[in-house]
Amino acid sequence: MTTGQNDYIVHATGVHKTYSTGKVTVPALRGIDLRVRRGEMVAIMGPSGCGKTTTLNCLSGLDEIDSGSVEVESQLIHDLPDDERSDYRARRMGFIFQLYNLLPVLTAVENVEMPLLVSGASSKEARQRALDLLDQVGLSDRATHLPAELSGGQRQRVTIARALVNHPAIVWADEPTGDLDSETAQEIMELMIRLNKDAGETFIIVTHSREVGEIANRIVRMRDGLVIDDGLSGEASGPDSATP
Amino acid sequence: MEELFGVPMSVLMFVLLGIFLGALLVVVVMALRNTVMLKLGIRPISRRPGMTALIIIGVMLSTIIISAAFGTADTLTYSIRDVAINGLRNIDEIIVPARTGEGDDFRRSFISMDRFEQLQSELAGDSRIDGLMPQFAEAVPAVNPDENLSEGQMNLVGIDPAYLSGFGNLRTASGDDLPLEDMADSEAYVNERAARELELQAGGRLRIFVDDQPIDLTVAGIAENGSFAGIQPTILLTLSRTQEIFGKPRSINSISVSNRGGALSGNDLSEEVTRDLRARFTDRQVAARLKDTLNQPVFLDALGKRRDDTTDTDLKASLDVLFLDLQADSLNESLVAALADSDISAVIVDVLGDDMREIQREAVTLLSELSEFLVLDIKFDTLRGADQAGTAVSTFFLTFSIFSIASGIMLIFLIFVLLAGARKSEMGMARAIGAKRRHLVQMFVFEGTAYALVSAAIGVILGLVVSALMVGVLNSVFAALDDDFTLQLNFTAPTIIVSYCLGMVITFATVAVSAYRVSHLDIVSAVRNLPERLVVSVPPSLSSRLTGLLKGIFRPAVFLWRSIRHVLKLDVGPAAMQLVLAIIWLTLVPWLLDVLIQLFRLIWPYLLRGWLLILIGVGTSAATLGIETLRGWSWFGAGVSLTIVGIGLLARAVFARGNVRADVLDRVVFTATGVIILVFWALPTSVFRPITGDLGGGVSVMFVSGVAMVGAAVWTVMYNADLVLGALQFATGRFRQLRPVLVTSVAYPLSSKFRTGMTLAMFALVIFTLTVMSILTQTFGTQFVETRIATGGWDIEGTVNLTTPIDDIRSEIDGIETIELSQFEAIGGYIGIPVQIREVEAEDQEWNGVQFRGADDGYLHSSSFDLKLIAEGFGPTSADVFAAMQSDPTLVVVGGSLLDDSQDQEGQAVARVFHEVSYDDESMTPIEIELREPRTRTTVRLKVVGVVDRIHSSGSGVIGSKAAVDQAAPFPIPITTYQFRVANLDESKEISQDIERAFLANGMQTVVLEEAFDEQLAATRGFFRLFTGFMALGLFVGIAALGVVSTRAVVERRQQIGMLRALGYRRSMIQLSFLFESSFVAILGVVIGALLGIVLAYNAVSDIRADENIDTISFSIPWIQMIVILGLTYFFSLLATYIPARQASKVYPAQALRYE
Repeated sequence: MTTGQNDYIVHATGVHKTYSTGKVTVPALRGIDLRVRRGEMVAIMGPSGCGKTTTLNCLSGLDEIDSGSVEVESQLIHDLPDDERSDYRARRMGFIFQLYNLLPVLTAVENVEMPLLVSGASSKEARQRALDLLDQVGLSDRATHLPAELSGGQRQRVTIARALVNHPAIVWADEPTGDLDSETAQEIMELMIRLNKDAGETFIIVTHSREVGEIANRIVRMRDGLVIDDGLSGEASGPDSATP
Repeated sequence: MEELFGVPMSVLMFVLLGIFLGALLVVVVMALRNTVMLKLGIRPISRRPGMTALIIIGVMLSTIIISAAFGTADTLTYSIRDVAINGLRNIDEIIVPARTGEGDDFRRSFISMDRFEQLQSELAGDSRIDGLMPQFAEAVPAVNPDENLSEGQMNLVGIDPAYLSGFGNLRTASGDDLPLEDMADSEAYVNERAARELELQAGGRLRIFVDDQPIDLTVAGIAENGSFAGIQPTILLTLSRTQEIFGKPRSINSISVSNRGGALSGNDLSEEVTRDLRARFTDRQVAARLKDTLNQPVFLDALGKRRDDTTDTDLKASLDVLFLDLQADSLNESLVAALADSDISAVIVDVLGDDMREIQREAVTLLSELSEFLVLDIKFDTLRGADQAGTAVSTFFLTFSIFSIASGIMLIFLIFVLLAGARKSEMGMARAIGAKRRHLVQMFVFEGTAYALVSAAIGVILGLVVSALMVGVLNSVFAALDDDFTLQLNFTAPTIIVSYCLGMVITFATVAVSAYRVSHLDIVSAVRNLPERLVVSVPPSLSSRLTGLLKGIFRPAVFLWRSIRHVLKLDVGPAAMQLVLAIIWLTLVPWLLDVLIQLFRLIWPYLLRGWLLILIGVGTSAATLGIETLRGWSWFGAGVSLTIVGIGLLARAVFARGNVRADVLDRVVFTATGVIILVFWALPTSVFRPITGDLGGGVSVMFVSGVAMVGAAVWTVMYNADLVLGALQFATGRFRQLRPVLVTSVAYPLSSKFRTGMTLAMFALVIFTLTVMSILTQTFGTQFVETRIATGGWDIEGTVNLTTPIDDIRSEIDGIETIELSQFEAIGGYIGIPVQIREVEAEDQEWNGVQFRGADDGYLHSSSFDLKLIAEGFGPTSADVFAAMQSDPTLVVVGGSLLDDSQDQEGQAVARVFHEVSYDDESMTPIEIELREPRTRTTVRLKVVGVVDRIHSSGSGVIGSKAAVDQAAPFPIPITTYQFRVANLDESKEISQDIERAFLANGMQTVVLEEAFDEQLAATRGFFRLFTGFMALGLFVGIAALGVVSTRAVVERRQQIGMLRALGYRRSMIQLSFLFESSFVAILGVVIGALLGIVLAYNAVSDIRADENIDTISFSIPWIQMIVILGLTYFFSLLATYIPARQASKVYPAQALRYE
């Protein structure tokens, strides 16, 4: 499949990232090249410690990179000043994490409306949209509950609602089913597929789960900080490989 | 400083040291036995130096406050003692005549040298006394003619150098021996103070005036201050020369006594020497008659009752001896000494009540004839006064900083609860793998002890620094008052030890309590790091609680028994530990606390149900109303507050049985309870007066109402937190960018009710006291009325020396070039004499000491005192009454304070003198009184025909014609005080100086009353501000609390911060969120404290205005000061949060999300 550069919503080239704890230096990413098309659902898989979460953090701009470049919607994300990058995340990105990362002091609906408020939406508009999303994820009757009053699956639905509430161009999910039982995990996966299809949002999912991988359009496999299979060309991607 | 809250410092030191060392020993033993927990406990200290520093700062604040209070008290005690010891040196007692005799005059009685020599030979064999000095002392006007400087009241002391043995040699300012015996008749020594004030030097000229006659002297040298040279401006002459100057050959007016030993050690014999001298000077025949008079069942019964009632152990013992001695067959020496003791004779007069009028009259007469001389134990008294002053200061400071200390304790508690939160999952894991609760307690105790040891030490040092700053402020106040007294910084070892131990013990106890609380955590929620949830256990059964109480009562025995059992098993470590615990418990304080805690556990379930609280509350209020000694608004209010809380709890228990949702029920019940308590305390006490009567107030009202109001307000706010959040969201609807920040910054503090409530309470309590103090300073630090009204229409006051009075001031002024009579609208004069009065018709025939103002016609004619009450037949105007007083010298008016119970300058209750009429009455009839001149015991009958309005601060005591006392005294009584009303107020200062210069020979010293009032008010404000500043130390506690809470919040919420950043929060929004969060708590605390403080201060001012009947007392808020205090509080609160907020904003989202 031939695709023009602009069709890629994410385009990472030669991304290096090293962690240093003072005494020890750990190369986490050793030259990642990755392209993701708009509306695609991509699963990044690999053994523990291979750099999946670091890839997600670096590509989404949550973490800095040592070298290389990451374009998201044709913008070099790491060249943006911190405030602009934050604004960009607020407007165009959604995040789903394994441990939900909901704000425990806010109710479900308040958690969901938070990205809209950050983007400057009016209270009324934000509330309505948040309730709609909660309805879509089947939690309209839990809108005023605090996270502590919800089950794991319900919390993850709230997280998904929050990730999608601002119509993001791209949703980053880090082990979204990792903390859930298989039945709830299945529900969450179905929900993500439905939202991906209905809204055409791009999903990049870091996962260990074979089931999650199977529902994705494409699987990117990693090992030792390298993409060993990007699911596109079937060729290994490494520091010395050519840029597509 | 000798005592604190009635407990001797030495006892306090040993008890605290015992508890401290005991506790430390227990911790060391525990640490040795469980090194794993020790490591776990102290490991975080070195790992997080920033947090450790913050904790140490927070923990040491209470110690700083305690140490500063003690340090200031120490300095004051030392400074006064220094004045006494260096001022008196070897003079321990002073003997003065007790009766009047031939050749005496007004206020001056003499002792013949023959009597002195006789006395000297009588005491020659007494080894406790090593010196007697015949002395002639008088105050005279003195002038340095070369520099034209004068001193109206210079002491002139004549002593005989032949008797200096035992007193030590007098020295010159340069340290050489002072050769008094070589001095010529035309020479005089002056002390350093006199030399400074009159700018005198050796060889210079000095002129003194005696009986209007100038006497020129040459300054032979400058004597070192102290001993006979005194510390006030003093001229030193030989005795013979002094006698010659005053025309009193072989007469002296006092005898100084030196006890064996030095300046300080001589004081050890003072009590004994004084008692024996008093007994020696007692007339045995009069004492025998007095014994017979008092040895009657009616008096002995009353005396026995007084002995049983008194709490003063020394007095109780003395009265016990008196009680037995009076019933003995014959007069013994201990009875003679007791009767000669002025404290005992005061009790005797006091005990002689209404039903013993005849005995009272006779006893009082005999007491006046009992002694030939009065023995004044001047050094002993001064040193005791120094200790009492130190005790009073420390008590005062500690009392006023009680909220700050309480806030400090809350902060320590908060810190350790937060520390526990930080290690929750670690502790949960420890519990999961088998660690017991006590292990967790130990872990925290180890950590807490390490913090406490360091922070108490730093706190003591910083407290002493604060104390030094306060001493500096006090010295500037003294300097403004033109007082020569200077505080010299001094801290004693007991004070430092008590400060350290107290700080350490408070910290240790708080840590132990918080550790106990923490140890009860829920393992599952701790392991999973879920929100705080303590184990909610079913209360133990009644039998278990009763057993607990019994165990508490017998705890030391239990420890000892366990120790013995361990010894028998040769288990030395545990045996020693149990023994140490037994010893600690036997220091009583822990034992008492233990029993109280067990008792509290026993009744806790009933308190929670409300009914027991209602019983306690109603009982307390009823007791306050019914029992005279318990009367007080604080107790009554505390009882009512407990009742309201009890009713709330009872209602909750009753409605909980229905289908009401628990959270709704709690909100309704607790909100209603909080609001009702707030309303109760916010209402002025006058509202309840028809039911309660006048319960009196005092400083305790501020503390009780502070706790009740702040507690109720915080409680109400925290139970309605969501409404506050809703209101804020509504209010910030328009600011879209701020809204997400505001939502989180309010939601977080409101979700942690415990820590937010604690922090709020800390802020609110301290701000509450500061607000009350600031408003009271403003209200009472300003003059209520114009000076002229307060003084009864006078502008300048001048006093002349008793020995150099002015015959006719008007004609004298007429003859002086520099002053014109036309410069004055009025001139009046009077003499103030301490007299005793009693109502003729009253049941209580006790004599009351008051000041009598014996005035001349000019004063009576021109004073413009408004009379609050005018006796029937003497009105209708105040001027009519004063006119009547001129024509009839038996008529007098009295100050309003004599009509009600009041307090003297030391805060002691003073019973009202007049019982037939009250200040609030609408009318009065003339009251017949007897007035007695205390020295001669001559009595005259007078009639009170008016009561001076309290608006006139100068209108206190009894005001009448001087002619009234002329007949009571066997000597001519001179006018010594003159009052002037000037025609042009702007010229007051110049006229005042002209008068002083014109009447130099009379020792005239003038003061412009307006300036004097201003100075006094400035000093009052200075002291008030110092106390306010001291109390403001508590604000650091609140600010530190915010810093600690914020720092902890950054750590706790790291993941959430990461999430917020992922959601698009900018760095500035994170930072702002934390700052808003602190602002929310600080502003809410400040607003609650300030509003409640204003309400209480308003009520206090209204009550005082109503009680004192002074309409001109106006409530006013010192806005600028308040804004500065509140603004600085807010600023520093933000500053304390800024660093953690900045840290939070710098966190990379990915790092934060990874954080566990």
